[in-house]
Amino acid sequence: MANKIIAIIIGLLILTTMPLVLAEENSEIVVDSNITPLDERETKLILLPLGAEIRMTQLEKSITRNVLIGETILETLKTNHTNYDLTESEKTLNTLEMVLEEVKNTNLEGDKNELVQIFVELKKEARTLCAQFKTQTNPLINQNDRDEIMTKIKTIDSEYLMNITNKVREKVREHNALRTRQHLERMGDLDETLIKEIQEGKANLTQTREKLMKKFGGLTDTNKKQIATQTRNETIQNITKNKKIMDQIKPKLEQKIMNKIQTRMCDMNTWVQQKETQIQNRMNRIRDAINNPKIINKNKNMQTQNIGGNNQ
Amino acid sequence: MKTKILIVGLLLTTLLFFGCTQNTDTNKTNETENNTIDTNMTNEVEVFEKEINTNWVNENENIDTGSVI
Repeated sequence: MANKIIAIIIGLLILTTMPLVLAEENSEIVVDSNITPLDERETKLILLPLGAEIRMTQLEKSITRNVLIGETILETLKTNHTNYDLTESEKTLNTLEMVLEEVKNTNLEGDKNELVQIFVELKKEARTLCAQFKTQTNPLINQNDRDEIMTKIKTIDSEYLMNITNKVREKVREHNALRTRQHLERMGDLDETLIKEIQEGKANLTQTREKLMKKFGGLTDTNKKQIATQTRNETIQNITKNKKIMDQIKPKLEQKIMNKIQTRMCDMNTWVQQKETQIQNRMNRIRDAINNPKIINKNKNMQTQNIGGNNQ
Repeated sequence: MKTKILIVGLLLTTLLFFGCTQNTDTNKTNETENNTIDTNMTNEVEVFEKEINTNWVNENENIDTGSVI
């Protein structure tokens, strides 16, 4: 009897501790594969014209910011604590840079369903890597380091991200103008001034909504019903399509992200070499230009002549 | 008798442990429901206004890839 009890206790112990052991084995990378309502809202836009461009540029901006901050953190830690081993966090940051390159090189003309999937995977991969980097570096950062990093982040936001912020803004305005144009066309009242104001950033959502609602209020009941039904059906169609894609993505997402990160880690050496060659080539070109200023002047003169020739 | 109580106790502890590790995110369903449009909406003005709001993108909107610090 006593043997049986011992066997049962051992069996139960194995059963209860197994999940903990397995979790410990995978504790290196905690994959963020949870699809939230916010993700669904973001991907819904990809199914609309210009939506993919907006979301991918926004994602590019967000990852670029984190890469720049990550570089600042590593640079600060290297300077302030020469004895720190930052190999693992450098690897994570390099992997994040690889994700950024993939975001930049994504073909936005491709199938919308695929683009939704690509966006979700890249976003979740970036989130996973950012969280991992934070876990790796946070215990190494003291208050002085943090203050120094925070000051540098302000410069990143104000100077380095300006171009991409403007790019996002332009695309968003274009999208909003396009949506407004569609509404106006349906109402048979194409107000080009309003569209131009949106494109130039002079009209915001509140102003546009007021104008559109005023125009909508002036329609006959039949027209109102027709337009409302049309817009509602479109929205439902869009949401249903998006949900269907999300349901397809969800079950395999975690494994897919894990595989992608592992593949990137394996390809890292080649990637770093390529990056170093690119930097070396750029440095060589700069050095050549400094050593041979005549070449620059010659090129400049040629350009001036060409411009002059074209003007004539 | 003691043995039986011990076995039942261990079984209950095990069940409790597995119960706690399960992902029971009930809020998720509610949040998703809020994201969908009300298909029974009959007021045309509301439908149209909601469509404008949902498809308009804010210029300052950001994609959250988390924080590195």
